[in-house]
Amino acid sequence: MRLRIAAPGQNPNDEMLVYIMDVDQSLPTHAVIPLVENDSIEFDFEAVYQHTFSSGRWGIHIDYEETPRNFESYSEADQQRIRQVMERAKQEWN
Amino acid sequence: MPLRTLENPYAGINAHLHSLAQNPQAGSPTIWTSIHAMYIGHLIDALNERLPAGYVARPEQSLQIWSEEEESRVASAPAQRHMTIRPFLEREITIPAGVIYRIEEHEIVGKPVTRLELLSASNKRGGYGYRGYLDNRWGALSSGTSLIEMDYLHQTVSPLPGMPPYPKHRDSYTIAVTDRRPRSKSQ
Repeated sequence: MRLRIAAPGQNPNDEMLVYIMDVDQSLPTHAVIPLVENDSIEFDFEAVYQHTFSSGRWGIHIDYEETPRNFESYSEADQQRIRQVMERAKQEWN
Repeated sequence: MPLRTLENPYAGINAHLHSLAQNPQAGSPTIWTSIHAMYIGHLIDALNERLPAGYVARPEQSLQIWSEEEESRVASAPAQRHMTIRPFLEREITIPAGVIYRIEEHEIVGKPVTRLELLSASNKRGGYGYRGYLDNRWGALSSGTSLIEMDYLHQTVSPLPGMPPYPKHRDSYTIAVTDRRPRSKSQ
């Protein structure tokens, strides 16, 4: 996972810390959430997403034999990653 | 024969699910509403397990402007570069965001310190809620509230200033943290 600083362009004193993820890359597991003054917490976005996926039984809607809808909207690199996940799913659950 | 599993074979965002949410069948509602509500609910639960004493996370009305009909339309359209703003919405619905409050002694409501927004397609660039979201976003930042903006929808362009569009110049998914805490003079 990479980090990138970008300027929002609204206020010269503002900066954004941006966590960026490709397809099949974990969400940040130690993201820092600012609170007040020196307070902050580390937060695991990946755990919350995976919990949402499993507890919502979202997999019931998905067929991994088929590419995602509007597959062409993904970059070539992401299309390749998706195909690798589909292959992985076939080997594990077929 | 379909290959289904309730486990997520992806690390991170499930591209199959999020493509389904962005491309609903004609006449069908998007499942994004449900994914959004569940994710925010679980975020709040997880935050409340980790926050130090004196803080609490609560669901609150999002800064985003949302209607089921428009969300389905924008979600199924390709990334748009042109503004389409409607003067009013007939079927606006409430969607939640997560807000962390600092509770001082004897306070009930407390002061909002950090807001977590899961971005929806209609509030991204080209969506009907884009301008409204930017206004609301700036209002929150101006009041000193820090923002965590999660963008898990790759087909539409981020509303955040300075964020280049996918797929040419950007990775698929982003979490942007704007820290509005006053900086010390040494920084």
